[in-house]
Amino acid sequence: MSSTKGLLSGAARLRNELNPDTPPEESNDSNDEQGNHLNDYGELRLPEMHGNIHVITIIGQVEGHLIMPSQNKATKYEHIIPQLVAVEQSPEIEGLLVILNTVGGDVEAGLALAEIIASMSKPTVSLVLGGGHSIGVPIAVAADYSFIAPTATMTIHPIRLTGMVVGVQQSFDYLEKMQDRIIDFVARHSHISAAQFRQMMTTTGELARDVGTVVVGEAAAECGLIDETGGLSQAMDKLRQMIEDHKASEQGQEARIDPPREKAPADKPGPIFKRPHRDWRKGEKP
Amino acid sequence: MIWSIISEEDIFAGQPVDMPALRSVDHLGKRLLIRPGSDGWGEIVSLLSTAPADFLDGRFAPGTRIRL
Repeated sequence: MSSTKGLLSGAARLRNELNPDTPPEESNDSNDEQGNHLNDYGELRLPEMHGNIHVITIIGQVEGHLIMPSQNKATKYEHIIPQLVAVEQSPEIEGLLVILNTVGGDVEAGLALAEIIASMSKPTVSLVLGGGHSIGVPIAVAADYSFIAPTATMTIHPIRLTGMVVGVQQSFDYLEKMQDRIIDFVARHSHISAAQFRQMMTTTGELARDVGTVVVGEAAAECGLIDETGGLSQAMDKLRQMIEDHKASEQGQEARIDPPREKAPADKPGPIFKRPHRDWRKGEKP
Repeated sequence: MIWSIISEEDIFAGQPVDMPALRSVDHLGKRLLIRPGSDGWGEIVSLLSTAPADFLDGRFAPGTRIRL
């Protein structure tokens, strides 16, 4: 009986999909949810897979305080930030891969994402594919280790201001402050100096319609903006290696914490509960 | 403030008439971006998840129609 119901509901769904303009028929089975349709069609159900590495993609525009019209492909920070928090919180997730193909977007949303990625305790690796332009640059360098595909590009150009300008000097000062926030973040999280990054921002003669610099693949790694050129396998290998180092570090800490308090000499300090910050780029290990 | 290689004029050029705004919904425990249709059904545009395995699940494949 249940198999007959399943066949009937499957047939109803098939009719709905073949004739999307006609009103869909309701299934008689109240328990029959959308999730069963793979069984109805006889397709194989993929086995459950629980990986320890999760991925976040930053694609199109980085959408912030203003909702972008839907012709823009946009990554919304209200979607990404809870995901980052969930990754940090979940004990099953041991590493995060951030894949970027972005044209830039909202400065504050981009910096928010960059800061949250940089402050995560779990190993993070970023991979720039296609393009990691403008506000994509701080997001890319925020990860513990960054990769760029050999053909990917990063455009570094000044922040612009459009619309009515009330006070020229004040507007200029504000723009400069915003720019300094970005330059400071990039210099702190990559091997490029603030002076060199600022110079790249204001280079003339490279872009037809703007000032700035375009760095392609290897050049991004050579100037110290990105750690290495590579693709998915290199990024995954690096992340796995960092996860192993991270685990070893935690086990080392637990070994230090493990001795019971009553056996510890009274004149020695107590166990260290706070994990020291380690910079993966400098190869710092516990 | 926008910092992008696309000009603000192009970003905020206005919404094409034939392109309804996307909606984010929860479906089978996953958050999805869908394009709602006028018939009470919606088409999945993208899956918002960090778990790579979720993207192998055909129930959340872009283009799949779900009842809203």
